Amino acid sequence: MTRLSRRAALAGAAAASALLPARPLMAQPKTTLKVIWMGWPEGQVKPLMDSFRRAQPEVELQVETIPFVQIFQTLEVRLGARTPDPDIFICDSPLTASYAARGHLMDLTPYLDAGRFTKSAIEAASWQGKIYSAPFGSSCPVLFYNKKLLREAGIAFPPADVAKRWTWEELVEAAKKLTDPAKNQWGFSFEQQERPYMLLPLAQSLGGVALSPDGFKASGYIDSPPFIEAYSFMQKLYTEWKVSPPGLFDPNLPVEQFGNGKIALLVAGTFNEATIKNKYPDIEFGVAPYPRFAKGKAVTPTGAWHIGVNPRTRHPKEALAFIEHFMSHELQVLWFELRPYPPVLKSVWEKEAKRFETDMWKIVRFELEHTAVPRPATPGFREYEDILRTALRDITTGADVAKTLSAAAQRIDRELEKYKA
Amino acid sequence: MTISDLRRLFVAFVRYLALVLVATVLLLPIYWLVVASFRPAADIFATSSSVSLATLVPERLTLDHWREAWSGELPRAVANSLFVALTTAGLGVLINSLAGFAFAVFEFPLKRVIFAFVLATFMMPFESIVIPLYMLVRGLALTDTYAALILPEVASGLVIFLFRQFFAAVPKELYEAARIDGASWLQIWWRLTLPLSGPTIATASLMLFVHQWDAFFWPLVAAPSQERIVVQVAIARNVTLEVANWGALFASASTAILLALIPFLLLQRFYLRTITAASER
Repeated sequence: MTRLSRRAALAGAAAASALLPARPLMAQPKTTLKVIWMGWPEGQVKPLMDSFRRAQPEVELQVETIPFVQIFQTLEVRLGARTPDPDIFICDSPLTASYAARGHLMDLTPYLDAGRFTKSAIEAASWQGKIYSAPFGSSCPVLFYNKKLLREAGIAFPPADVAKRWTWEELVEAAKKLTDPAKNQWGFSFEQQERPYMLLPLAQSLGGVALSPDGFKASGYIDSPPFIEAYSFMQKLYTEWKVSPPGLFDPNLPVEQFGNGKIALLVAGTFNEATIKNKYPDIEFGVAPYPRFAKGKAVTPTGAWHIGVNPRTRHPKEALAFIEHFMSHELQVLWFELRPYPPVLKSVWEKEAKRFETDMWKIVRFELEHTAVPRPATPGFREYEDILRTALRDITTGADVAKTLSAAAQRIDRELEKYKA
Repeated sequence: MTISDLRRLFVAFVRYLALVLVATVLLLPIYWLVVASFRPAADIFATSSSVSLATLVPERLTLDHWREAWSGELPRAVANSLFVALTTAGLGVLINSLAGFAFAVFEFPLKRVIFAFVLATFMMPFESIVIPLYMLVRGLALTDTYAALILPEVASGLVIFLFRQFFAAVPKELYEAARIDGASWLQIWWRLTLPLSGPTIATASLMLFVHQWDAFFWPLVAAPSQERIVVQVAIARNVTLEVANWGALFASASTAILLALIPFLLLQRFYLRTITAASER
């Protein structure tokens, strides 16, 4: 019985193989690239992917959009399994070193012409002298202000001229006048009240350095005098001067409050310009540069989304074609139109100059060229950010600044130790 | 009315007052969430910086957020979640009760050790097993299928424990009598013990259902395509780092809460009874 059925199976296999030569006549199976992308609205994802599909019709794209809150954990699992899946993934630029050190990013140095990109974008994409992620967007926070509230308080608008930017000291004086507890009105808020991204420049403005140059030591850096001074200042916004609303740790909330006229001055990312205009058309607002300390220099944060290639991909040729397409001038212009992050390609700034003639874009361009400092490059950036973020959160609610920073520095040192090997 | 009556009345009053206070504290955020889903976008946070009557009672009402939520991926997500949660609950009751039955009725080598392992599974954080689990599911070519969402959640240490506790309390003589009458062990499980364990089945299905209804991280990892979207993922998609569609977020979250309440309200008396009974044994 068994023998018979085996024979039947063999016969079947032979018949099937006889049919094989006919296969090339049918359509070639497409190569499928699996892409993990940020959970942006579909209208900002599909046009980009469709553009690639049109350019490379023989490549099938399977795109998974993951909500922001879980994208890093999801990538940890998917990459941690060390399989060829996904082929392409969206990569938060400061995590470049972390992924590269663990073998999750293909070295893209031979495939990218660094000269086409802005300096800060290439810095954010590099680890140990090689480019591991393809820059796809940059970022730059600015100071938004509510014109009506400033006028009512008799405060001159902060100048849009980067050379005359407000100091933090000037900002606090204005914020005090703009704060009115009876009306639930606050003078100032950061969009990200606890995230190192937006708050590192405070200390860097005073000469602080975020991490040792080799990327493995936080003690002596984030607990140094400039950090203590900067974050003591930040703490007073909440505890002494009471000009900032405490506890708005979700970055969307301060923007909502600004839109509702409850916050007068807001340091926030450029993408909020469109959000505020669309959602709160009645708010009349202006834009000024990110402040600096009176005795310090101007420093701004930068870095945003990059694209990474899984080195285990079975389709390196197609994956690199994807990168090439996404780094093209045309696609980056399309991306800017869909989601106005500061561009990373010099050609977009040059050829699309008309779009950048507004106050905001003039400021952004200057910052990216002169004051932008990427977050520290370290394989342990996730740990660094998590620990520092908790410390900053505690500081806003009144924790002892020096002690909190020193404890955080020691914890970070311990975490970074494991990457030294 | 005697003094002791008065005292009893006073104690009851204080007790109810405390319960009302606790219930208010627990329910107020949910009330706010549901009400916020009916407020126009600009009003949602306009009154939230201090608590006043306007925080609780909306001035203007709109159905826009509900329309928006329901015209997007929410209906598909609700259908997927219902399918996944109900299938898991159904399969889970069968599989876990069989395991619980074996632990309660049979003697076999290393029974205690194995049972300890079963208990350990529900104390282990999911994050610690997610990478090997993903590799396993990928190895079985199940990624992005309903099976990837359902199978890993069917066996549950906690539910096995509940069934075991219940079956262990059934007098041994009952099983022996059935054996003498010629029933197989499977027949005894199916005909004798399962019909007795209504409350445990209700509790187990509720636990499995709610667990799957709340599933968020695993579906993102194992079955991330649009066709397999589940309800918690659909809710989270309303928020990115830079833009939050609060209205649609609150409308879809309200939907998820209200739907999950239905089985809970239907089965809650069994739920409480089983949990208390299992802990007393």
